[in-house]
Amino acid sequence: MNHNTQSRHRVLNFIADNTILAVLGALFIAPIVLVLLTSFMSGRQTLTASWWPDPWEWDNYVKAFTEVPLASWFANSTMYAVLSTVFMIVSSVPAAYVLAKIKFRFSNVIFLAIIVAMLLPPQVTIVPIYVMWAKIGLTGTLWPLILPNLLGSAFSIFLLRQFFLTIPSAYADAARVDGAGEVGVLLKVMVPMTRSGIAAAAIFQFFYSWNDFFGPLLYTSENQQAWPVAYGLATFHGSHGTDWGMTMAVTMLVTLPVVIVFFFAQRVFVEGINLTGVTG
Amino acid sequence: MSTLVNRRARFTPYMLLIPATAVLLVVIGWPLIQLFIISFQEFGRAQVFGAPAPFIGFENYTKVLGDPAFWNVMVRSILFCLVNVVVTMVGGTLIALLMTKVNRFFRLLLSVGLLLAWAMPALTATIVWGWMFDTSYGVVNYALTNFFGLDFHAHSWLINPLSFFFVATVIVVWGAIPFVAFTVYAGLTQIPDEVMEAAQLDGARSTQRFRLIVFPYLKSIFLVVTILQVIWDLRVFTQIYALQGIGGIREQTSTLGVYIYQVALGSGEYGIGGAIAVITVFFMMAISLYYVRQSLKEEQL
Repeated sequence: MNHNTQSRHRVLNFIADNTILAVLGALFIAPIVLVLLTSFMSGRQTLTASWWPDPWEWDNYVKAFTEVPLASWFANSTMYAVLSTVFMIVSSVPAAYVLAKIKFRFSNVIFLAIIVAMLLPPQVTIVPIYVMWAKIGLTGTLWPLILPNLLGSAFSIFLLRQFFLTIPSAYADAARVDGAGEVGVLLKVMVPMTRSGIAAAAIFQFFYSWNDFFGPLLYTSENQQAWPVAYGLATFHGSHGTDWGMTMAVTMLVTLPVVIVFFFAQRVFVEGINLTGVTG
Repeated sequence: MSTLVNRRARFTPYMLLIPATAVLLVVIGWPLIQLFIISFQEFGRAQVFGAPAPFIGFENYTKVLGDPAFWNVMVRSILFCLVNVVVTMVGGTLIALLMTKVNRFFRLLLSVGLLLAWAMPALTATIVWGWMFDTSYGVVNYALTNFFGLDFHAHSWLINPLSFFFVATVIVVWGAIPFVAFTVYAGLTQIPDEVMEAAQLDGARSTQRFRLIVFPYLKSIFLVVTILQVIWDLRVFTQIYALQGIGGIREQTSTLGVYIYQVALGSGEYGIGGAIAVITVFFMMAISLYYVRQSLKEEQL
């Protein structure tokens, strides 16, 4: 009897767990399904209570391609995200390595400064930085957002430092005994061992730039030619706010490529973060 | 270092640090110094275009510190951050634990949902959720009125600051939970089965198992993830700014980032914006000093 109640208990538990999970899953999927369905509705249909398109309208997508400069948005976003990521890797990897593995005077001070820099909302330092870029004459372009990555980003340095900390110093020492210099140790020993960590930092940077709304709002709002996807979508939504069908079609079109890239990238992301924990 | 210290080896650390030092000096240090100077000046739109900026002592600071709006923004930002971090961490961990228990099909279903939510840019998510909470055409009002018999007909969610932040929290947490859930789940799969089984045989209850085994195993993962959440929620901008555009009252719902943006770039009060920023810097330094001391202590062990 005891055995019987126990197994019944188990069955009930199983059903309860799966139900909760199904509800949670639905909660995360529902908004996206709603967007997809609404993007196929005519303008009048979106204002009714029915949630299934009848008939299915492709019109919103046709309009989106003809009336919205999607190609230009995507080109700008791609330039912003790709260049930022490349620049960040080149500059932040060596800095993070030094901060993680080599003890020298002021290393703690520099680390503290990087943490502060990382915590500061970007709005804090924009006033003088904006004035500087205005004087150089690069406002109205995305360069004020791309170029600083050549000097590294505080967040990436922090993240990469965590990854380097997990690699035992013995590997580096062995390479040094074999006569490798610090640059050799970094490139031949450390980088290959933290590949998934570096990939994670790169993906963080890529998506941060791609989804960045504040930066483009600040620097490119007056120059339509330079708008990336995130800012373009916001202004489009501002001016077509009640045309739900078309708004959702545009939302779908700009989100889909990100979702697809993300689908392939997320594994690396999660593996990378876990690397900082389990082995450390 | 090893016994092979030569001159080159002694100099390379500094070479490799050039980017980091440059970032500190040029991207952080220089603006901070400028900011500090501006915060003691009368600095408006005219000064951006070259007009002389007179020094006015602590006037900007007394204005900011005497302004209740500033203190409201501070308290609001900290509370918002705390609530969002706690809800995200607890929710994400619970989902991760659930994922270890259910069968493949449901796990896949949930993973797809989480992934979609995670991949959605913050702005897109805000537009979609703002539309779901829309006063006239929102699905939330419709469902509450028609399925639950509550009177939510034409209810405005964004006018009341408290319910504005409820909606903002839904959006932020919805977007942040997937990262926490996936990361913790990946960590959970690394705990050896034997350890969990042994604990179960010893009669440890599920809460005890979490406290005594899971938590210590995943401590460093929890630490990194929590820090990232704090950073992201403290500097939240897009969701609040976009939601205000959809229909909130800016004065009652601004968080730190949005507030500085409005004061400095919105109304051109760069001097006052600078003073707010300097106060924020000191505040953040106090927080991070604590973290750095903790983490340096741990690394030395």
